Amino acid sequence: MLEIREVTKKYGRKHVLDRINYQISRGEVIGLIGENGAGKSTLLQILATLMSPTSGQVLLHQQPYRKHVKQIRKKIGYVPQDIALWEDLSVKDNMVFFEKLSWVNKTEQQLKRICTDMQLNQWEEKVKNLSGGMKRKLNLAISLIHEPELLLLDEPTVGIDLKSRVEINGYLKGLAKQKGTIIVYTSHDMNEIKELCDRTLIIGDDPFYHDILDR
Amino acid sequence: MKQMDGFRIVSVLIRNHFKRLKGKWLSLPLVLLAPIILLSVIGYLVIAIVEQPTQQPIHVGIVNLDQTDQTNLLVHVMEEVSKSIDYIDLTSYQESDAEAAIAAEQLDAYLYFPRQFFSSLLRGESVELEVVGHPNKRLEGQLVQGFVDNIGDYIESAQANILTVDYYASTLLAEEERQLLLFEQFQSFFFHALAKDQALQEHEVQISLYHSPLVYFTIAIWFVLITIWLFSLYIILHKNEDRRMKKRMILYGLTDLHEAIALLITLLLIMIVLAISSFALIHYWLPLSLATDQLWFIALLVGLYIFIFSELFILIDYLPLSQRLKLIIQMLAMVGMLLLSGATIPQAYFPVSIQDEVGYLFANHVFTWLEQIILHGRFHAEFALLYGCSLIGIFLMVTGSVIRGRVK
Amino acid sequence: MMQLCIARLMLWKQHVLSYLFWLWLPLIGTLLFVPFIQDVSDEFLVPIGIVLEEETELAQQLYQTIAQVDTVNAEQFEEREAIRRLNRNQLDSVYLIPEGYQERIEHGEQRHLVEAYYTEHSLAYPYVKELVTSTILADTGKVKAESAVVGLAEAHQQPDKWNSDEILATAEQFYQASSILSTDLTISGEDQSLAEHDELKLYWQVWVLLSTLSTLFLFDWIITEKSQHVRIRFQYMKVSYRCFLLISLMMLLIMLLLVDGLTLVVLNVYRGEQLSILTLFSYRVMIAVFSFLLAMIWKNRYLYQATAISFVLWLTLINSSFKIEGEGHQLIQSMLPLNPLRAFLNDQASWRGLMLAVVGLVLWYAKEGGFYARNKRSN
Repeated sequence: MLEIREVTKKYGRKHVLDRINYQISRGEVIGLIGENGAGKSTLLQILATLMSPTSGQVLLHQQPYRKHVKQIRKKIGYVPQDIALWEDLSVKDNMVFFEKLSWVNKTEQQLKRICTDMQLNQWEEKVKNLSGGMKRKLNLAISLIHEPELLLLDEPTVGIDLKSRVEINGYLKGLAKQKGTIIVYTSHDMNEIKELCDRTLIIGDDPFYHDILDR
Repeated sequence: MKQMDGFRIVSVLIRNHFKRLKGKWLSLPLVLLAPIILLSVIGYLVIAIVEQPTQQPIHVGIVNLDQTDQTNLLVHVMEEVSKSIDYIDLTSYQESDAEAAIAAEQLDAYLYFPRQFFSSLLRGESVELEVVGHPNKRLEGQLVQGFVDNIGDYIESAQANILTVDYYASTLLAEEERQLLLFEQFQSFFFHALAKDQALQEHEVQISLYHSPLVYFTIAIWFVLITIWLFSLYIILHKNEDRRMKKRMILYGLTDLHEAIALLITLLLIMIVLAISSFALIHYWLPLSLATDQLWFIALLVGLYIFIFSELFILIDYLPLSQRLKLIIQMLAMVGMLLLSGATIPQAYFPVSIQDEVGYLFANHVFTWLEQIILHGRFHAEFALLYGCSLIGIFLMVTGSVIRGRVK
Repeated sequence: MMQLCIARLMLWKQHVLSYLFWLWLPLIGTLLFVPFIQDVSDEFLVPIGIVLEEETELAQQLYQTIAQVDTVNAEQFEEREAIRRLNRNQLDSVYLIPEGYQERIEHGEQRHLVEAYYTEHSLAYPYVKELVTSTILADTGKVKAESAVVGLAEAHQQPDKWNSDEILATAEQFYQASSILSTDLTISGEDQSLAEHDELKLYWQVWVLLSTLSTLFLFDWIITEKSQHVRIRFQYMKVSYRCFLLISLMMLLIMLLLVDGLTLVVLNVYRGEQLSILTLFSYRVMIAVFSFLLAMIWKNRYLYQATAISFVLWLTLINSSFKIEGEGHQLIQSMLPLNPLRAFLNDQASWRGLMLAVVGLVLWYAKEGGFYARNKRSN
């Protein structure tokens, strides 16, 4: 279970996040929405341990972030908004590279399996020759090598074709169901959020987002 | 999409170059200043060597551990000799006093005559004169060593002669008498050696308008400076293109040739300003006496030089090689041109085999005529070679850009 | 650890040819380049003109002695031609040996035996003048010694005891055997003599410059790599990115040291150019860490490369010995105690440089640790 308790983030005097409280159980998929600059990315980065809150705390399975950063990070899969891949390496080499650096040992077969599960089949192709959709899939696949219990995705499907998006979303749903992974997700696409997420957390107080969600 | 005409594309590119340079207001002066500092240090040193130092003399102590009549004479002679040399002042010291005097900064260096100095010399054994310098005055220490080297040469030549005399005298004279003779002979040979410069009757021939080599060195340094500036500016302007902007410009019909022309014009504009202002400073500082016609010749020579060198850099960048290799080739081209131009090593010292051929290098051609006009007051320069080079450069650039356009 | 090394090799594999090229460039470049430099620099000579107005033995001997000096290109001219060439700056200086040269020496004369012409552009004149006067001095000295011996014999009523030629031959032998007086410069309070690097190690000189350049180039991947988004993934890995970089530095350093070891063998054994292992080791660690840190600071790869080349050019300039201005080189050397290659070329280990490198590395490691702490603000 992921608990967010009274999390506040200030930049100087400006409150970006103001006393956020939220709880997410195993296997839940949560969508984060809000206008640009409302603090979605900030919250996601706090959850990803890349930033610490000004006050308040976050707990994963009752373990507070502040004290156990190292153990927590082993359980987190973070999918950055930018494509974080070695462009010159092949899909295979990217997977193998991050497997070598990760906490787990996997065979090449297991790594390939992660990709094929997402319909990413160009195993030997260099990343720079892949389409945008395939790059996104690989971007996600790498974050799954160490089988994280908490998966954080920062606009993972931005700018890709419909087919790839459906494939990615289908995969994520399966992941939450079968392995009980907690998934937190930011997106600007309302349809996607409605289709994929069990619950939605609105960041910021713009009434527009509350209305559109109710509709 | 409507095609923009070439003229407008080039002018947009030029304006863009200037905008980018404005953004570099901090690093640009640094890039331009660095070679000036470097070259003026080197230039100062070279001039300091050519024109013997006339500042305060260097104070040198002599510590004589040998204390024979001969070395005492030698020390005395050296003290006397140093009086006629401006830059060194010799005084004899006790060893401990010399050490203290160095610490108290009264002495810049001192030299030892080791024990058995003279008898070793007579026996034909090797001897070492040791110079001890002040830790903060390494430069002076080396000047002293040069002076001592000279004295060493005198002693050495006297030594061979004395050994000759001794070789024959030993069959004729008793020991005491022989020592006396040798001492006299040593004295005589040493003074003989001291006077060796008199063997030459020297005539200085003035071949340029200016008596000192200062003008030549200043012009040479200015020439090197302009070349380094050109290369630095080329590096700053050439890369760093905004990729997205370039893609958009390609839609308007941008080609490599447009970029090359824009770069050439920008470089030429900036370099002309830099060259003229730096030359004006030199003109004022030295001062030079040049007629208006001569100034026009100089401007044209330097303008063409900058133009051809920029063309060369651009052409090297057209080669299908890695960025690092191209940079190295450009750098080697620049160094090679400077070495062969006559501005770093005067052409007279070049190998005989290339003396005639280097005249066909544009850098050498330009520098030779600059020398002719500024140093020798000529009212003439030849431009045919430079026009030829520029045209060949333009032709190659057009061809290169067409080929590159096709390959893309 | 093994895993990390394999991961790094996977990244380097993409540019393996380029890495091999830069790794081996210093050794191969040195072996090819040095003979070339030697050939070329031997051809840069000081051109002087000799005018012989008499063809006596001593005059010829003077000409031959000067002509044999390998830094000088002495040519014989008619007087008018010699002066014409001097005026056109084609000759550094002209020496005219007048009628009666030998006779005057034999009479023990010393003044104005030879006429010298030079111009304000005669850079090498002091050097050549020294050469010429020394040669004349040797000749006049021998004649003087001869007359002293003959005088001695006469004083002892044995005028025919030795003949002149025999005496001159003996004097010549002593001249050949001399040159045993040397001078040595030390600095008060320091043990090391400054003149110790007199013997030029041309191979190592060229090697160290090429090696500095190639090392700087071997580290430029850092500039591209550190700016990539992929860096963020290291937060969730076994090692941090700074740790990964440190391991990469060590790997590259080991590779460089292996190549250096081979270089040492090749240059020591095949070219007889001695250098101590410690010198090489300290230089290598210093320059590798320096390149590493420099690449960490730089943002633009092209400008980094341009800076690297300019830096090496500057090193070349301050470390090359100018043949004509031999003293100038010494002056420049003594003015620049900061020359980073000074220790290497004196065959000393640079402990100061090594310390500096290690301190720099520690500072970088500490500072890099705060990267994400600082990054928070920028978001």
